[in-house]
Amino acid sequence: MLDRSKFGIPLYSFAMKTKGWIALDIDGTITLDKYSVPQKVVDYLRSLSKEGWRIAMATGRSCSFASMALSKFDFPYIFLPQNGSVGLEMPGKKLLFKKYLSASLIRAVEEAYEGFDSDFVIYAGYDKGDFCYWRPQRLSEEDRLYAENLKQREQESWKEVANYGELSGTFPLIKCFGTPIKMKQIADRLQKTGLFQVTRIRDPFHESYMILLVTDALVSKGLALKEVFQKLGRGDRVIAAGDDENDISMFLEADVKIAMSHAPDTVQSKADLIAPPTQDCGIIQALEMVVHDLR
Amino acid sequence: MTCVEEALKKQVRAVDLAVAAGRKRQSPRTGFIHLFLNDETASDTIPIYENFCFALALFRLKTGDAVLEGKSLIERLLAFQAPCGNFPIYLHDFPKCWDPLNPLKIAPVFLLLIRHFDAVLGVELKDKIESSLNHLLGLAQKRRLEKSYAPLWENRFLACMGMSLVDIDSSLFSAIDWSEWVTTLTIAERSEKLSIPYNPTLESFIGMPPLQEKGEPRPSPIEWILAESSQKFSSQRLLRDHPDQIYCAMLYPVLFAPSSTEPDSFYCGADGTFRLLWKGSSLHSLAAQASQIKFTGNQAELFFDLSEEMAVCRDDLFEASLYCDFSSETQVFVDHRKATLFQLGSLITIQTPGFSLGIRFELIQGEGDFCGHLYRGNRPSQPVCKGPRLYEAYDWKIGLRTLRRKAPCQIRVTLVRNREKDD
Repeated sequence: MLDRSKFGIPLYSFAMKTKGWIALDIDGTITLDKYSVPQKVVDYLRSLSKEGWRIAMATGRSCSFASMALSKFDFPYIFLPQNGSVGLEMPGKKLLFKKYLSASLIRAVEEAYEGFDSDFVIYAGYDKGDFCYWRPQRLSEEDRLYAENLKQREQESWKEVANYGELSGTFPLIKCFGTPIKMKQIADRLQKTGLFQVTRIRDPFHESYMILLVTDALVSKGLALKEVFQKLGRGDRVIAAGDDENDISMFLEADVKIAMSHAPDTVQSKADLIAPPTQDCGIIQALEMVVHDLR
Repeated sequence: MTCVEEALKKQVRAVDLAVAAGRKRQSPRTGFIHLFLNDETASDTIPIYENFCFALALFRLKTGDAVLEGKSLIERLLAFQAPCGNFPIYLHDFPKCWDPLNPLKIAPVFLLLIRHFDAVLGVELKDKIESSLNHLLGLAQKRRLEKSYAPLWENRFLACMGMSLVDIDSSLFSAIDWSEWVTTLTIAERSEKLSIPYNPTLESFIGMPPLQEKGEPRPSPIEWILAESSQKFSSQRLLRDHPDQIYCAMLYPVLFAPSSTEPDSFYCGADGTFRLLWKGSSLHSLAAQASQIKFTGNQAELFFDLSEEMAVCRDDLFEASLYCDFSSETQVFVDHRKATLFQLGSLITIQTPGFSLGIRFELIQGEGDFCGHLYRGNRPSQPVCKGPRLYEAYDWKIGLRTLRRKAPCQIRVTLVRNREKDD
């Protein structure tokens, strides 16, 4: 029998029957801080894990940036960074699946940018060191400042390249950023190609900027969850919580949907429950209510 | 979040009004809404259906506290299901249940809870609701076998049972009927585009006139939900607190084609019911009950048939009367002067900013002497004049008093509207 304790995975989580899944977005849902999750929330999720709930953390963040926030998670969970383009069993970082974009698709994104004085960045993926390719010379002054800020706050190493044409292999995520109007136009163009899954989210740390998470057409938080269920089982109930439009796909896989109080109407209208504000660790109250009823 | 989404988020929702109306009438001691349906000033009775609506509205807020409160209310209300399967109108009536339609009013609350809030109801409460629903529908079915329902309620029954609806003529629906019909369609999961006589400019139902409530037509749940659906929710008439807002809990935004967007609207019923609505700082109206009406463009002709012999002893010898709401911006003139008496052929003008209406009374058949009076009064559809408001008057009565006549006579009242500018 596999000795899981050797891999740093506590035994208790596997000894109990799974009650179901709790799939959570990170930014705006369990934390408002870039680099940490409130201890109260970590403790609460740990207690749910001990009770037999399986936890999945789904985020638009890159693997390393998200890992910083989840550094206090000392219990087993499934990690779905980059909008679910990869699934890792944590804390052992065992790969469950990955769905990456091929380099040949970068050209299609460049075409969508035609006529815009801006550019996008490409994530290399956790398996290549989780850095990011960018072309600073193609960015407008405003976007360059934003990108510098993004780079700094995500504490990632960004590799400057002159031309994306020289890249090869596969990539988990392309990130576009800019004003909501510009991002809508680019998103429309990308969606028309049918090659990508394009998710628009607000930048939780920069209000005037919108971010497009461009992934493989078969990648979304919801599809990632589905993949996890196929591999690990679905359990009795699935509870999902989020605060932005990229969380709606996760809602489609869930029995109970929780939206945060600041989530847009499009998200709240699909939710069963609206959690109290994130700064008050509202996710605890919402989960407690649902979990309590299901006990 | 985009600007559009921000704007939508700030928009008034009918369900928020339902919660606010409920909260205003909620007792801090019992947690229930206390409301007496025929007298707003009384607050010692606990209506069951309205409390179910309030509980549903709380669920629709989706916040943890509201859902928990909604669950607690439902749990407590379920205890008042009488052995016969029905619920009383008021809690103190238990176990007597006077309203045979209550099962068909309350069943949709349960169906909506099960359909939309299954995830947060919890197994125990869901079982209780399902059991109660079965009793309600069993009772409704039993009653239907004894006496058939009117088409509106027959369809409600069919919708609750998950059966196909039967055709219904909605042309004579009142605002209340429309509210019930929209609930039925929601339960039947039908989302067709509806042709509801509603004017988004006036933010008013323009079909069969409802009761008047003080100076304006009594608002109806369908108006609140149509104001939300048309994203035009600004009139004080709809935004101010009203107990009927509690019923908005049952209504979800609908697709509909507005029948008019003009700043005024005529209603001419086949039975001679006439009403003109126009926009001002409040929703102005002129109402009458004529024998017949002819309507062409800007002009309407109301005919009052005075066919019966005149009874001299009658208290009210006003045989042809119009009622116009009294407001600070309404001015009424007789031949361009302020006056309280007028003759046949006089030009009576009602003016509000941006709108004027010319009225002329004429005897077109028979012989008689008449005298016109302009004075404060109330239209017959004004129900609020009781108790401390017994002597309140919310209208100008423009009436033709019969002095003497030989039957039969016919009075023609010609109304010509003039919009000085379209706001």
